[in-house]
Amino acid sequence: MKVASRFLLPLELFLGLTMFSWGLSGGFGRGFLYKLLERLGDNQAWLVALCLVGGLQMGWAMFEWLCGRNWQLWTTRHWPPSVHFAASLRASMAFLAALVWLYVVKLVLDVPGMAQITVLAILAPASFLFCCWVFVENLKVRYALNPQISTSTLRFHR
Amino acid sequence: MRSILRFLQAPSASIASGFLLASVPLAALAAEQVVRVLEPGTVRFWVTLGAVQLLWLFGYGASSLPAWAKWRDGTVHDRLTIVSGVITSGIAGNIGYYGGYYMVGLAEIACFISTGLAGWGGDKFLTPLLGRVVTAFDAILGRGGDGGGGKP
Repeated sequence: MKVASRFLLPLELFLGLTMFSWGLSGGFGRGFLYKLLERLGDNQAWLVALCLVGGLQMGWAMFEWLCGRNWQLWTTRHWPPSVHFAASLRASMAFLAALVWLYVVKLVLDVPGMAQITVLAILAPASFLFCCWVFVENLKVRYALNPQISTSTLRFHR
Repeated sequence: MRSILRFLQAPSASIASGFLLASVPLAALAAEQVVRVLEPGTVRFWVTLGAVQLLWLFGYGASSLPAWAKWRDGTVHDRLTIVSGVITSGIAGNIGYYGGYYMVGLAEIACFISTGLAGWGGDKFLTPLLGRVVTAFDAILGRGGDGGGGKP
């Protein structure tokens, strides 16, 4: 099975940007989402979690898209990072992002009035599924590139 | 009957049963307090309960995916060893949410993240750790045993 993950970077950039924007929207602005979260007392936690995870995902995707074209597949040096390290990091961030999107889905189901934000009600489960896809593809690359793990099923190509 | 009595007289069994008996009233008190706060019967309680179980299962599935999908070479036995971690992941995941939210008072989103992470790390880290603890206890008590293990 041929595996690669660079083609997912624009999607990760978009997912990170979306999460970051929703984090800002729930943390500041006095909008409908802000008022709903204020009733639960979760504005600050929402802001920190979504902006941190979304910002990290967006920032790394942008950095790798601009600078990561010729990175080595596997290296013991810290800098520049290897493709294996980048795939591991991106898989971890996608996993965290999927958890955060699941929380948003739970709030949409649980909190009265949250489902009225239709964009969020559609976007949250879709983003969760896309994060799962990003996680799986990056994990494949991680396993394909790690020389300490024997695999006869995965073959990496740029 | 005699063999049961002999087993209970063994040093390891008496230490373990002592701990178990001492923990019963504490566990009952903690459970009573938690149930009082949880308000079972409300919609929010059931949605949260379902979401927490989904979360730790998601975390566990993410950690055992490479073995199930055969991305790494190994025997069927290697793949089956990850099944043993389901219970550990489940307990760790539930503690991650309910312990964090009701006992420690963390924000709910932090408890959600910790539940997923506990489900992911339950089998990966806790099972080998518990195996080491059991091996150490067996060594102290002078008993043999492989002490379990973790993922391949």
